[in-house]
Amino acid sequence: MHPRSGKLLCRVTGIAAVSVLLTGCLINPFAQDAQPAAEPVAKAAKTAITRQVAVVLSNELPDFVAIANEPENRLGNEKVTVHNLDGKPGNAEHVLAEVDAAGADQLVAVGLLAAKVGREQQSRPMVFCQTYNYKQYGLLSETSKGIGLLPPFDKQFDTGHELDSKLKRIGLLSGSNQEDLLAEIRLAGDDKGIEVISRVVNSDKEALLEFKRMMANIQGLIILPDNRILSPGVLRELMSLGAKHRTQIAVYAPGLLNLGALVSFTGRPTDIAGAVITRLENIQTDGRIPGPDLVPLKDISVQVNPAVADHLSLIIPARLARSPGSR
Amino acid sequence: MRRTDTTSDVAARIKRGSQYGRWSSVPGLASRLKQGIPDTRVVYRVLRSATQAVQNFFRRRSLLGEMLLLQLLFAIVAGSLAFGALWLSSSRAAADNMRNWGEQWLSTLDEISMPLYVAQDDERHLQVEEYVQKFPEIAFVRFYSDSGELVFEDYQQEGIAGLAPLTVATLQGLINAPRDDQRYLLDTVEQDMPLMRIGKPIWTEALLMDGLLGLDLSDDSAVETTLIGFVELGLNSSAYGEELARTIRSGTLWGTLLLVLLTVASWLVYRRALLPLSHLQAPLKKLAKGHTDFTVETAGHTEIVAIADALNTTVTALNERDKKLWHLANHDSLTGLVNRHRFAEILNNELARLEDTDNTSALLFIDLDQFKYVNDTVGHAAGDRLLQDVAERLTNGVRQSDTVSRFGGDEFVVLLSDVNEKQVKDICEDLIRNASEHHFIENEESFTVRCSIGITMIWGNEFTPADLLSQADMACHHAKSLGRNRYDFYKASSRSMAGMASEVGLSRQIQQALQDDTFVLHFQPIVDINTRQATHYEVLLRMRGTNNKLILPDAFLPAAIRFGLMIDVDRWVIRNALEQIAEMRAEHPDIGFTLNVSGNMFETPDFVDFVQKSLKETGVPMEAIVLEITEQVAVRTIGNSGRRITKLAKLGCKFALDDFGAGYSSYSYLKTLPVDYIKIDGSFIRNIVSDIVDQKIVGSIIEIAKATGKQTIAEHVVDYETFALLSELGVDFAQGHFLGKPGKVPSSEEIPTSIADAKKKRRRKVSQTA
Repeated sequence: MHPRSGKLLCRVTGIAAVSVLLTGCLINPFAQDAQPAAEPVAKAAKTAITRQVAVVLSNELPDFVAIANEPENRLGNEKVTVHNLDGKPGNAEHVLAEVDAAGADQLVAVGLLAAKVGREQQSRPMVFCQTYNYKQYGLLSETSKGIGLLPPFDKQFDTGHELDSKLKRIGLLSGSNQEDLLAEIRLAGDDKGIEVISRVVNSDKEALLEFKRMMANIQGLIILPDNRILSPGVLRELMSLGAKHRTQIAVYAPGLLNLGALVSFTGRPTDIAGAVITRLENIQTDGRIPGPDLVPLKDISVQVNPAVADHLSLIIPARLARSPGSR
Repeated sequence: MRRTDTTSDVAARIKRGSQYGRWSSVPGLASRLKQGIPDTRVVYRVLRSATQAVQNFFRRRSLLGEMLLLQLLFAIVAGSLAFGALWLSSSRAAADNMRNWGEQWLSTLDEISMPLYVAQDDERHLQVEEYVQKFPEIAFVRFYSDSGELVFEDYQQEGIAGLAPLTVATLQGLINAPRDDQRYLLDTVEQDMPLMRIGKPIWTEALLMDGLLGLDLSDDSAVETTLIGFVELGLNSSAYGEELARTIRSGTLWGTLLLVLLTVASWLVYRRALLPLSHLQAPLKKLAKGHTDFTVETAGHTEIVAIADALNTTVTALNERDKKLWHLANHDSLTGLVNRHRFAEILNNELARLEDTDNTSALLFIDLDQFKYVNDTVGHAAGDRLLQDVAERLTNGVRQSDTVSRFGGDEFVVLLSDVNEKQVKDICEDLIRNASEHHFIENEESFTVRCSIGITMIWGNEFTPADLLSQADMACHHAKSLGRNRYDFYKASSRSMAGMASEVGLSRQIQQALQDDTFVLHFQPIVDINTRQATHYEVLLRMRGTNNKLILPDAFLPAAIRFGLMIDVDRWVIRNALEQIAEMRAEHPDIGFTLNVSGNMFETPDFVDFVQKSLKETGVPMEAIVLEITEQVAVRTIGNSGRRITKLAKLGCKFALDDFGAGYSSYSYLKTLPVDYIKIDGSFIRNIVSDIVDQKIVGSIIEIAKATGKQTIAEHVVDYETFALLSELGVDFAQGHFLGKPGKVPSSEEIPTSIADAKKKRRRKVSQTA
């Protein structure tokens, strides 16, 4: 077991006694927003909160850990055990055994690997997050639903306009089976006066090729976090071409700012964690999870690369400059 | 046919070349070749002629031409090397470029091929085809699936569709190629064109599931690689190669043009730079032809200035040397006056000048009256000083425009330009007066050396210089005959002048005889009076006259002496006599010969050398020769004569004192002169039988000769009585018609032993004559 997992288990044991109180007093501002008004089942299912929750991490990315800590904080150590796959599918069996040993009856999967591992056991309902290609891997079911990965697109476009008021046309590269998402993005763009030109590609090279083709017609590019169509080499080349052709590139991982992206949009861990807990609370006794397949995020964390902004002659708004997420 | 063409070509070349020197050295070659008869000799001769033509070209090459030629050769070599290197490097660069382009095209096809693997529709195909069509070098493209099946193929050029697809094994080989070097040169094939096939696998990479959120570019394991298929590209480099060849051809053409322009420019530059050197060419040519009447400008480049200075110095030195040589050749070394040769030139020029004018000039022949006396009295050195003194006074006595020349001995000639008879008379009177008033002092003795002057006036070019000199000489002799210390004009009608004219005629005959080698030598025996055998023969000279009769020397030798021909005559005699003597001695090796030598010849400085050289050339021993010199000659130059006689005597030569008793005979001379024989003058022998005085004189001479160890020879022995008397008197040798007349070949009469025999002999001769 990963050391982090052991620490988390100790905490679970230590705070088990106050878990009910905490649970009853929990006030989650996001939860209220996240739960649709037309979800009576969710309110009825609040009793299920007393169940044992296992949080499985794909690996110990800071955001993942931050997300994992929220249920622990809110539900108490006794009710929550955290398990780490350490990025290795081979750890799945062992981690699942731990989950079984912990008596968990609810599962939270953070990351795609964790979601895929969680999907392999059918006995517990699972709420997954930080997962993009959930359809690709068949993660959705009555007992398995998730939290959106991407922050709200209207806020993304607003940020984009703040950075460059002349932004009118952007490109979008995505893998297959993301038609709904693409439609949502185009719709959000239309609302903000930004034309979104989307391309569905099948490989990293095709992504690069499509970007080259559309490069002359777009001012910015959104690189969706589709691991299927992205490779380190192509990412580098996309960034390089973007810098060369003064194309603003938006990504969904702050790590890519180092490669030359202008802005990174991510969800806030608290927001994600809140949504997770809400979904956990709404799990019904039969394990079904009410509500949409994916609960969208409400908040956004923005980080801007000042060097790239300067290269593109963009002035970073004060709000973004002061933002702790801005770089 | 080929052979005939070749020979015709060669023949044509020879025909063309025959207009230019060396080719013409192959006469008939062209026609022979045209007839189709080439052989190795023809080829050899053609090659030799060509080689000689090239050699001639290089032999006559100029510095400028050679510099340009070398530059041109260097440029051609350098240009060829450069073009060769350019061709090689360009070819390699082209191949590299083609490969690089191929790799680039492969990468692009790798990118754009992805849709092809997702959906096989026309749009996808079109994308690939559009891309491939942009590049004519791409002959075809093929895409394979990951299992090796042909997915798509597009052929841009004809004739290659039949090219077999790659096998699975080959494709597997591409997979196994190192990942960092996926380029893979498959092969090159000749499919109607040079074709290079390259291929590579098509991979895609994808981040692992959560790779993007926690992107770590240094972690290769975070990437998942998938083989999609393969792409094969056929490249045809012929179009590029042709373009490259066109470029290089064009470059070569421009390079050649540039080379020609550079050569022309270099020629101009070099010619300008070498212009000062070229300017030296004309003076050098002049110098080579012997002309030294120029100077070279000494300005410009340092090297040229040095050459010009050297040239000028050389020219100056040559001029000075020529001037000195000219002076030596044209002036008398003793007096510094112009010599006979130069005077003849001046006289010729004067005649030419007078031809175009009405002016008259005069030629003076001056002979010193007392010079011989001074010479004999106080010696030759004093005589030389006297001559120098006279020369100076003559020069001062005439005008600057006149010419004074020493003609030889004590004879001077003067050319007075543009004078009439009165002026000539005035000048001559001044010269005679000056001579009379001037006293030459030597050894505290005072001499008054007067002169006689012969004058001839010159009108136009009616007479030759020789005629004029003869006329002046004759006038001089006439003046002397009239009493010396006076002048006289030449008059063609004068009787005495007629005699002079006769001598002049003889002198011309002598010159002609010398020139035509028509003198004749006769030999007269000299008989030992005791043995009555001819032991020697005297060589006697005869000249063939205009009527083919032989002229005796007494008739022409005075003229020869007067006109300065005696030395030449003597030389002729010595040279020809020795040649004949050499032949005669082959049969009669014991016979000796006597040769007459004139005083003029004997006094020449190279007399001894000449005799030695002639003897050596003919092989005649010195002992076989007796040289006869006259008493006057021996006495006049007693000092030098003695030395010369002694020198030749040491070498074995003997001397005879000819005509002893006819001149200033002094018995003391017999004591001092180192001669072997005394030839008693014929005037004492002719009447010796009847004249008691002659008997006494001859007897005395014989006695004194015997006393001084000399032998005597009696001339003009005409009868037995004389011969017998001379025998009684003790003469050693006798010579005369009684003993043998001169003849072309040596012969001797039979000498009678008594008067009776002599009479018999005389009667026999008379009857034979009758």
